[in-house]
Amino acid sequence: MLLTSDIGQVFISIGVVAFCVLLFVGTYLLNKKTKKPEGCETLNCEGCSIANCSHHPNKNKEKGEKEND
Amino acid sequence: MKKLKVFLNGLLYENPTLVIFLGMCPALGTTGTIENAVYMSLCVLFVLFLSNVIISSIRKIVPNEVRIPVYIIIIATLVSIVDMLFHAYLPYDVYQSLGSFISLIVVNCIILGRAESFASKNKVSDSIIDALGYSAGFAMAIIVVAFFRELIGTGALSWAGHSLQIIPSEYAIKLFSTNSGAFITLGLVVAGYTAIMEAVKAKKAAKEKLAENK
Amino acid sequence: MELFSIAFAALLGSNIILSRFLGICPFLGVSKKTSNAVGMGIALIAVVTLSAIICFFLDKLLVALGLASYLELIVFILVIASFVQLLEFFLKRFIPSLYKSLGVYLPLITTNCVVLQVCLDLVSNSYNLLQTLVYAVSVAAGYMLVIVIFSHIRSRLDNTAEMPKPFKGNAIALITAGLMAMAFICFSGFSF
Repeated sequence: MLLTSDIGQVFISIGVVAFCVLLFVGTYLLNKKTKKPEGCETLNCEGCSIANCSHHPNKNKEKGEKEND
Repeated sequence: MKKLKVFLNGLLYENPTLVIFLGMCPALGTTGTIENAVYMSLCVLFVLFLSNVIISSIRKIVPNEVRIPVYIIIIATLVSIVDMLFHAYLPYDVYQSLGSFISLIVVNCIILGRAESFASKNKVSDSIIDALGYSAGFAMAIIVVAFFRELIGTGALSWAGHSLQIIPSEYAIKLFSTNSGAFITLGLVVAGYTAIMEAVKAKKAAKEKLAENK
Repeated sequence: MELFSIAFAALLGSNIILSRFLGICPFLGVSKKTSNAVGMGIALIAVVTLSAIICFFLDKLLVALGLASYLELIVFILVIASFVQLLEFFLKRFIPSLYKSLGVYLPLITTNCVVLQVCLDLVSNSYNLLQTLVYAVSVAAGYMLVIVIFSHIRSRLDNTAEMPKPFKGNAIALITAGLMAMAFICFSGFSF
């Protein structure tokens, strides 16, 4: 009965979203910690200007120089 | 002075739609009428402003490792809020024709790009200016495209049911209201904008050269 | 027949790029080389199909909990993003050769609106599992079709065509895409 009440719904939604957030953060870290296999370390893609993509060539350069831009 | 530079950077020099080609989907999909374009710009302004403010103010708390997931979660929450607000308060037909483009702001690269490359490194006040600059740049681009598409495609300009016939409707070119018209108009606007910026740059360079020679 | 009609509409009739304007950023970025376009297309087909299946069951779960309408967006985007991360991890760890050829495109796909749109569509059209599968594959195949054709046009456009300077690059690419969209209009009148 608690599940169908309003307050129960709120708790379920919070639970569902929290689960998704944890799932995402977990898989993100898992992926980031895994090293790229041999021969792929310098895999670069010049396709677009999405600078936050982990294959964007500016990724490494940007860290030092673009502080205030 | 620096604030003005940050603003102009978003509006002109790094215009998200016309120069760095990010967030192109709404620039094509919501430019059928000026009304749609204006509401879409408002939507982007709202999300970009709040995401820049929030991300900039928590930039020292968020661990560097998980910053991108945190940004995505913040942006997704904001977009859900905007979607519900617009569903409740926007004219229904406008909401209907914006359709999923509101939900898709969540994967719009302008928002995440700004969060990552500006708001995460700068003060809140600068981030606000940056958000305003970029949304103004986006708004300018899509409203210009929408203006030409609506004017040439239907011969009239309309707002909330009132319309003003400028070109007799027999002379309107229907193509510009269709899908291919969206691509072509945006292409022409990009080319025009590039030409103007090049001309301004050339003029500036010539002026500097003249000053040097004196 | 109904499945064919779904597939035809998704593939050609209302093509995801040319008539629904989605996934334009990678469309302009990745279409510079044909090999890149093919890689992006294959990666997209895999991700769209798998995440559509995941979202299909997820939506059933959300409906069962009574939360569907307002949590849909945030749950979908988080699950899709986690799925792409997991896929990238899996490829890195176990199939490095595949990662080498398709890995570049995976992070891009998280920000590709096609994936999210397909998941939102299958909920709003209330497709069943088979329809979902057909729809997802054909939307992604439609994306691949257009981006591969376009990359061929573009390699000529960038190398040999003469044009005024401001049109070089993405401006002429957009206009060309407009002409392609015009050609695709002829598919839109069919109904089965």
